[in-house]
Amino acid sequence: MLAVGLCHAAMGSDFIPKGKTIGMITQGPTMTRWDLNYGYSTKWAIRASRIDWDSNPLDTSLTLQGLQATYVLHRSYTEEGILNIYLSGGPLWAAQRLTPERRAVGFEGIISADYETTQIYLRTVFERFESSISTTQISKAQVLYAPWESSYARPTLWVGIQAQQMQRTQIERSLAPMIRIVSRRTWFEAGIHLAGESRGKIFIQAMYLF
Amino acid sequence: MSFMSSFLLSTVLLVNPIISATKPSAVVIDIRGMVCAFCASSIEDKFKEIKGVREVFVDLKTRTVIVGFEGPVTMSDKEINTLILDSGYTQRQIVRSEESIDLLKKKYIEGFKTP
Repeated sequence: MLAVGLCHAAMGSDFIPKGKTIGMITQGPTMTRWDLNYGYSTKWAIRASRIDWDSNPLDTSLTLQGLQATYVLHRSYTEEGILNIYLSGGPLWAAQRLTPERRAVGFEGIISADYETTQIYLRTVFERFESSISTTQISKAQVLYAPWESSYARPTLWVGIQAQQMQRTQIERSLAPMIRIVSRRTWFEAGIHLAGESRGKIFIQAMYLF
Repeated sequence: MSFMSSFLLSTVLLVNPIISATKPSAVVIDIRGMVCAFCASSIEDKFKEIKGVREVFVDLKTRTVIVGFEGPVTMSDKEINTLILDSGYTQRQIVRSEESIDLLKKKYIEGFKTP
């Protein structure tokens, strides 16, 4: 239900270069998310985020606002690509729009890993939002392939699939074919759910490197 | 990939006179793991913030960045290394060239077109 709307709980790419800011917006069938990330150092980044879930028959609308620190646990280079492992976490402010409104302070924790070459992108994420009024747990994997090798001179098209399991009021599994277009400082992706409550509905995500 | 990068860097070295009165006006940097345009754009941004930098050429295929300066290269290897590290990468090799970035780009692109 509500859970199926959260298509992209964490950023498409977690590495933030030192001194750079990345803005992101995600729109799913039942949610909208905004993120603002800043690279504090080569190992640490900070992120402010806000997620608005629409209400549905099983749950009321919910707003989560968070402030997280992301740590690059591992970053290594192979001949063909780069491997990253990240840990992220921080306080979460949850508000459920009931009468009277319910508010709670909680915690968001994420562990994610990605491996990328100029033609292959693999990513896995585990994320948990925990508060006294709402708990959500998400596991996600993405596999994408660039038919034409990534280039700096032109936009790169990626095609792939995303598998996701989300647990909130119930467990929801989703499989979504997706595309991604990366053009220097702009990142755009879109997919369509093949299963679950959001079957046939699209999600989009856009990022911009300032 | 590594062979191609090495080939380019060797070419740049060979075409440079060993002793010359002209000062290097460009640097060719081999960067490990630079596979993503989104991430590489931060390297370009950081170089463009440096005074005297005229143009930055990025090639993901060979993980190479060529930085052209308006005059002589004003950055030390240490400064270049720090900039690359801040962008999240490490460099494998920094080669200074007395040729203009336009010529280097031309040689570079043509070099990789030739099997």
